[in-house]
Amino acid sequence: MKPARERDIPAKPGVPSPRGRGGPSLSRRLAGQAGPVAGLLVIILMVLCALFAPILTPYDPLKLSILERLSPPSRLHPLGTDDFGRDVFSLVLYGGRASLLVGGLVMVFTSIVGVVFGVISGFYKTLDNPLMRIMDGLMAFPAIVLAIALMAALGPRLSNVIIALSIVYAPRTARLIRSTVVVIRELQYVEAAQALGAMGGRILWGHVLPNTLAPLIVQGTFIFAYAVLAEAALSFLGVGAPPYIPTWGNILSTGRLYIQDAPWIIWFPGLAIILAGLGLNLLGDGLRDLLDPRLRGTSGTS
Amino acid sequence: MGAYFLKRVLSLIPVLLIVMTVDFLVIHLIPGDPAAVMAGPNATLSDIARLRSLLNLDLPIHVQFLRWMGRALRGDLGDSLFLGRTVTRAMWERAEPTLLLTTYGLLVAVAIGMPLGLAAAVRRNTILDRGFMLLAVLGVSIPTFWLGLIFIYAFAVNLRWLPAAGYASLSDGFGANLRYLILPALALGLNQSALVARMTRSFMLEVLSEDYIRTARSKGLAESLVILRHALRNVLVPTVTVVGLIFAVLIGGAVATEIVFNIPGAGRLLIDSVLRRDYPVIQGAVLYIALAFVIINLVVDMLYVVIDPRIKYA
Repeated sequence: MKPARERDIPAKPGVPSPRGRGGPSLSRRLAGQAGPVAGLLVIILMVLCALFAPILTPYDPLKLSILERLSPPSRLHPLGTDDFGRDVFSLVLYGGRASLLVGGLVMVFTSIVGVVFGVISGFYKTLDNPLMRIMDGLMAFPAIVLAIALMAALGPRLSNVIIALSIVYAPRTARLIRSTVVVIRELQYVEAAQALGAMGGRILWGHVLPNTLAPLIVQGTFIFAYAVLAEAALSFLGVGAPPYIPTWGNILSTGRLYIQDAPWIIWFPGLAIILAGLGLNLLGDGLRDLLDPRLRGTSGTS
Repeated sequence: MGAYFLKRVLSLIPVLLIVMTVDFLVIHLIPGDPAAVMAGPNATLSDIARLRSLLNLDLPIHVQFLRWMGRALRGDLGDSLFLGRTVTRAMWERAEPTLLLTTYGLLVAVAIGMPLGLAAAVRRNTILDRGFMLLAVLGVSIPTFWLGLIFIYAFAVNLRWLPAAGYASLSDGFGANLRYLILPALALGLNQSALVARMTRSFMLEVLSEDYIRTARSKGLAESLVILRHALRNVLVPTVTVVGLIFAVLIGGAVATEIVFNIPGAGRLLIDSVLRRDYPVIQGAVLYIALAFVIINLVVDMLYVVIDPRIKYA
């Protein structure tokens, strides 16, 4: 795609080197790219905003103030207030906590589940077929529809959103890891290690897992982005986090009712979602180009 | 080719079995007593007992599963707890708006995404290319339901060009139908046009690096002819797969879009059923939507083989 970047790829594209090293360090290569760096900065900034929300705003996001109901942006309330008189700026900051927490935890859980299932599937031929058929079956549902069905069963709680989205997205990671493991398993150095008498565990920890790390990080970044968007959609639809928890989707779901009289409510939660998605996608694209040239051309959305 | 098609269709059987199993289990994932949860907080014990036997929840789970499976395979997904009709009938009534919305959304996505992707590939590494691709990353990050809200605010509330919400069936005339679906389809399709643009661009770049393009150029053919006559035709083939890929997102996005624009489609039926705990409808809607998605992907796979004679499948 971009010839300037192709020089960064170690000797043979498509074949992971035994330790996945060589060439300048990842951080140095990453620093040369504007997109992923900007993406990373955006994400760090958003995480900081969510963490330090109590310092950044004097208001309690849950404090109701009927007198200030639906007041437009002013010096006191830079983004206005919602139908309960809650400060929208504070809601957006605190909403970031829920959204980023869901995104981050879904990324962690799908990575763990994906690696376990992917490695089992890639190594044990008897389990490969049944496991992968189950993954296919789960991927046969449009993501948000399966998430809605799971939320209908589990009930509207933030922890259930994390569980539901992890079930929805884990099969993608599992498939990716499996396909990586299948390639590595057949490589000569793994065969050589086996011939030298290395046992299963040693091959797994020494050769297979290190090579799954690059695709895992790239995929994880994209899953973070999907999960933030999906969480917002679920909350917006009223089947995600319960209404009293400030999340970007919940703020939008109230704002929708007052779109005529108080349009300021819907602007900033939406922009926050976009900023998070943009940051993660830019970071994911950059990491993919640097870490895993084989994935190039695939996209950050599904 | 016939053998490939047969194999492809047969490979769907395990997938569909798992889809149905997952869908069946949705009711059984309910913590506690599913019948009590479905009946709601004000139900009496006899209400709960009646519901339990109505839905066969008192039978052993494997018997329930086999019965459910047997009936589902005959197209019988049970009755809605609230709507006074079968799940299949309720879905059927809500199918038209959803099918039209996703189709229009698909057209928007392709009509906007493909030209942008092609232009970016032809003008590769220029400001235009970078600009388009940055726009595309931005596009995939915009939630469809938020874009819908902004459209309502801009075009319906402020400019009063189009209705803010509601639906007119095709039987009321194509114009009326379009009037209600233009904004939803734009909101739904714009987001996916970003994905179409990115994929078209990478397909086009791949085609442009092929030997036959080099041959065409070296025999002195004008660049515009190289693009139009040699590259474009070949890039259309892989682009077909994009349709299958984005269809899943379009169906998912349609759920939120229907809520935003108050369109009485299958997605709204699903959400309404979740909110009133109408589990037979939830199961049915999810199954039909998954089925539609699986079939679309099958058709796309087959189309791919039919339109590209170079590909031979065993």
